[in-house]
Amino acid sequence: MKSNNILWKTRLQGKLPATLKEEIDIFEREIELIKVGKVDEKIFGETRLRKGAYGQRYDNGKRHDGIKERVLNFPNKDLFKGPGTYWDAPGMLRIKNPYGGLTPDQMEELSDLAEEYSDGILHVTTRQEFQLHFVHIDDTPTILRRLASVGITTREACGNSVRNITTCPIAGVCRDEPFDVTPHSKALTNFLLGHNDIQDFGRKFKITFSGCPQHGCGLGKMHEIGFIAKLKGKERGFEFHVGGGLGPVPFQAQLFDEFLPEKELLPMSQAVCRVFARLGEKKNRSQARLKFLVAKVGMDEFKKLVYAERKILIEDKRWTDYLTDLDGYYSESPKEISIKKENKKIAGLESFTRENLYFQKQKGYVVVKINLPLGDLTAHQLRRLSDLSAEYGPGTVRMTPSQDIMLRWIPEDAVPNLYIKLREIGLGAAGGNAISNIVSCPGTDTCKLGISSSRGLAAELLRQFNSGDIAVDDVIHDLKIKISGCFNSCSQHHLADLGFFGVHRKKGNHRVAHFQVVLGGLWSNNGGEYGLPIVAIPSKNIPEVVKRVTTLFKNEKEPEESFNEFVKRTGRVKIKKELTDLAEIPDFEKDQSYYSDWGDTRLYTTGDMGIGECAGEVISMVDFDLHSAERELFDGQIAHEDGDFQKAGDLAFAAMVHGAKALVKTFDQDISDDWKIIHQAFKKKLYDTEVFFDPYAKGKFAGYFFDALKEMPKKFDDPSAKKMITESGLFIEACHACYLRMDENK
Amino acid sequence: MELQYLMVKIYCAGSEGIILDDFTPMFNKWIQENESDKVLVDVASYGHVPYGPGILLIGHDENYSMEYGVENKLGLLFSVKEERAGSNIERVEYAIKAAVAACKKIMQDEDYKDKIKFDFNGLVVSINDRCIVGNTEDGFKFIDAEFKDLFCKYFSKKSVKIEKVSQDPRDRLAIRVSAGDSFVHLPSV
Repeated sequence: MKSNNILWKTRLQGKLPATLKEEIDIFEREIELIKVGKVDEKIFGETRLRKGAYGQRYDNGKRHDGIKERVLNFPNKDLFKGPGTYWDAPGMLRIKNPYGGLTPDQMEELSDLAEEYSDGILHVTTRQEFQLHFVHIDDTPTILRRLASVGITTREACGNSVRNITTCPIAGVCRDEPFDVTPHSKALTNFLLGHNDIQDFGRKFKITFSGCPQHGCGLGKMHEIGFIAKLKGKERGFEFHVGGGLGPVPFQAQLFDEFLPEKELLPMSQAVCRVFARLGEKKNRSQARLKFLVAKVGMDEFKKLVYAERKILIEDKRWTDYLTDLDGYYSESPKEISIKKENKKIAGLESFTRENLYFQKQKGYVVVKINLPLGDLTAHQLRRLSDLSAEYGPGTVRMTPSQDIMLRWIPEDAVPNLYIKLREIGLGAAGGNAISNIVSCPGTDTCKLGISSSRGLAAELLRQFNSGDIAVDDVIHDLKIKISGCFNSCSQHHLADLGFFGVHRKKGNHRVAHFQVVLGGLWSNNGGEYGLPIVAIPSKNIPEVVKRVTTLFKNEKEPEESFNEFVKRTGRVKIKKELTDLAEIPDFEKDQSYYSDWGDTRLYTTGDMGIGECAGEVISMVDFDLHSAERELFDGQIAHEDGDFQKAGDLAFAAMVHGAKALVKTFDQDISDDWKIIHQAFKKKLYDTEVFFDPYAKGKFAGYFFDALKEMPKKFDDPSAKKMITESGLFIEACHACYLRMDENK
Repeated sequence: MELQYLMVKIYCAGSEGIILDDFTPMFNKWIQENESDKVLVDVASYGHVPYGPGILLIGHDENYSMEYGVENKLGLLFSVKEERAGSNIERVEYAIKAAVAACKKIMQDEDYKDKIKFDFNGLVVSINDRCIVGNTEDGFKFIDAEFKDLFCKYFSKKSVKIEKVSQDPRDRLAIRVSAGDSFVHLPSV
C-alpha cells in the first residue's frame, strides 16, 4: 500500500463530484471493514468487482514456475479480497470510458496512474476502455479518487452489471451514419450508471450503439442490447436488437423493433433491464445472460414482458431531458489552427496515409487511427497523444473495439507533421486495418481463465507479419485475426475472418496448449455472422495455420469473393483436411518446443488456471442492502466509541431502516427512501403476514424497529444510543434470518 | 520530504544482438531459484511495445525489468513499489545496490556471459511519486542536495554530473547521474 494515499485524499478534497466522492469513501470504508472481519469475502468480492477491481492470475497464491508449483507468500496470509483471492495479490483495474472517449486531462491522469500504480502500460480492451494490471487493492481508493477528479468512474466496469457502453468510434464523423449516436450513448450511460434497476442481475449486461447497419464498428448484433441509428423521415430513432452475445455459446441478437424513437431509448432500455433482473437466471451462471432468457421465453413473449414493464415505469425526466439540446449535451468541433503543410517526402507516410486515415464526412478532416500492438501503449505515449490531440484537433480521442486509438478532426494538411510526431513516440505504424492489427484478450498473461497464451501468439504473428515470414498482399491485407485465451470470446474471435480460442490437449503425460481455429466470421453488418470452428491445433503450429489458410484463400478464391463467402463455399471438411497434419503433436522427447506456449518458456500446465470473476458473485440486492445496514451500524458503534452519541443513535436507527427496506424490496423494488413509507410496507408485507416472524422469538425483533420509529427524531445520550445500537443489531440479524428463510422457501 | 518508490536504471553498454524476449526465461529462472523472502510473482512481456517497459519481473515489493523506455536505451530498471523504512539516503542506496546486483546477476548468467555488459559510468534515479515530489526545479534541487554526497562517494568526486532527465513537469522527477570516467566505488551488495 502506498504511503501517500492519505496525502492524495487530502489533496483531492473538494475536487471530486459529490456522488463519486461518497461512493469512493464507502468503498474505502469497506476495505477497512473487511480487514477487521466485518464484511463477508463474497460480498466484498462483488463490491470490488462493481468498482472495477478485478482478480488476476495467481491471486490464489500459487504459480507453476515450470518445474513445480510455488506458493506465493504474500504478506497478509489471512486476508482475502474474495473467496480464495489473496489480499496482496496484484489485481487488474478496469476503467470505464463511455463510448471510448477520452479528454486530454483524462489521458494525463491515466498516464500518471499507469506509471505510479501499474507497470507503465495501459491496455485497451474490446469494450473501448482501459485496464491497468498489477494494481494493489489498497491503492484503489486513491486511484478512484484521482480518476474521479477528471470525471472518470470505474463503477460497474466489472461484476453483474451494465458494462461500459460501446459506441462506433467514428460516430459523428462517419460518412454513412444518419446521425451521431454519441449523445445517446452518453445519456444511456449516465442514466443506467448506478441505477437501482441494474443492481440485481445474474450476469453482466452489454449495450452498444452503431451508426449504420453495414459496418462492424459498433457490433450491434452481438450485444444484450444493440442500437443501430436510423431515420424515419426526419425522426431519429434506432433499430433495436436484443439477446445477442458471444461467450462459449454465441447468439445473434434478434430484432425487437425496426424503429425505436429516440425518446423511447432510455425507458425501453430500463424496461429490458428490469425484466432481466426479475426473470433472468441467477443460480446457473452458464445460463444467466439475457440471450438465454430471450431464447427461453421466445421473442414474442419477451416483447410482451418488456412492453408491460415499460407501461408501469414511473416517468423520469432524464429519459428525454438530454434531447432538448443534443449538441449542448455532446458535440465536437474542429480546432482552428493554421498549418504549414510538410511537403518534403517522408518515409512511411504514404502507407500510413493509405491504411490509417478515414476521411470524415466533414470536408478537409480525417480520423487518424493509431495502431496499438496488442492494445498496449505506454503512459508516455498516451501523454504525448493527449498533447497531439489538443495540438491538431479538439483534444478528444476514441478507443476502438479493435483495441486501437483514433484521433479525430485532424485537418488533412496536418497529417504529415502529425505522422512525424507519432513516429517519434513509436506510434507511427501503418496497417491500421491490416491483418497484422491483431486483437487479443489478456489470456494466460494475466487472466485467471486463460488456457493458452493469446498475447504470446498475437505477438508472434505480429513478428512474422512484420518480418515478412507471413507474406501479406492485397488479397489478405484486410482480413481480421482475433485471439482469445479461452472459449469466453473476450477478443470476439467468433467475428474474425481467422479466429482462435485457447484449448488444450494431452499427449503422453504432458498437456499441450492449443487453439481452436474458427474461420469465416463476419465483422461487418454489425457482426453479422459467426465463424465455423474447424479444428484444434497446437499453439506452436498456429502461424503455419495462418500461412496455409491465407494461401488457400489467395489461390482458390473466386473474383470478388470475401473470406466469409470463401469459407462457406469451400466448407469445413476441405479446410480441415488442409490443416490435419498440423494437429499432430510430436513426442515430448522429440520436440519439447510444443510443450511450452508462445512467450512463456515454462513447461505448459493448466494448473495456474483459477476461478474466473467475469461472472461475479451472485450477490442479491438484498444482501448488498443488508450489508450496507451493517456498515451503518458499525459506523454508529465507532461514533459511540468516539463519544458522539447523537450520531451513534441516528446511524443505528438509519441502519434499522436500511435493513427493513432491504426486505421490503423483495416485494417492491421501487420502494421509496421515506422511512414512514418503508415502515408501512414492512408492517403490511412482512409483519402482518408473519413472514418476518422468527420461529422462537416471533415478531419480537420487529418490535424494536416499531418502537424506534415512534421515538424518532430523538436526542441520544450514552445509554439510549447504546440501546439503539443493540436493538438495531438484533433487528438486522433478524432481517438476515428472515431473508434466508424466504430464500429457502422459494 | 520522504522519498519512497525509487527507481534506478542502469544502461547496457550497447544493445546489439540483445533480444528482449530472451529475458523472459532468465527472469523466470530467477523465480525458480528465488530463495529470498521477496515474493516474485510473474514475468510480463511487453517486447512488442516500442519504447516500452520491455520484459518485467513482477514482484510484490519490487519489479525488475529490461527495458528500452522513453529514451529508447536498453537497460535494467529496478523499481521499489512498497514503502520502505529508513532515510532517503538509505532508500536510494538500497535501490542502487539492488539494481547493480541485478545487473551482475544478468552478466553472470551462463547463457549470457560475455553477451551483455552494463555501463556503470552512470545511472538514472526516478521518484515514482508525484504526490511528494514533482519534476520541478525545487524538486531537482532537493534531490541534488540530498543525494550529491552519496553519488560523489560512488563515483569519482570531480566528474559527477547530476541533471534532470526531462523538462516536462508532468513527468516523474528523474535525475541522470553520470561520471566521466568510471563507477569506481561500485556499491557492493
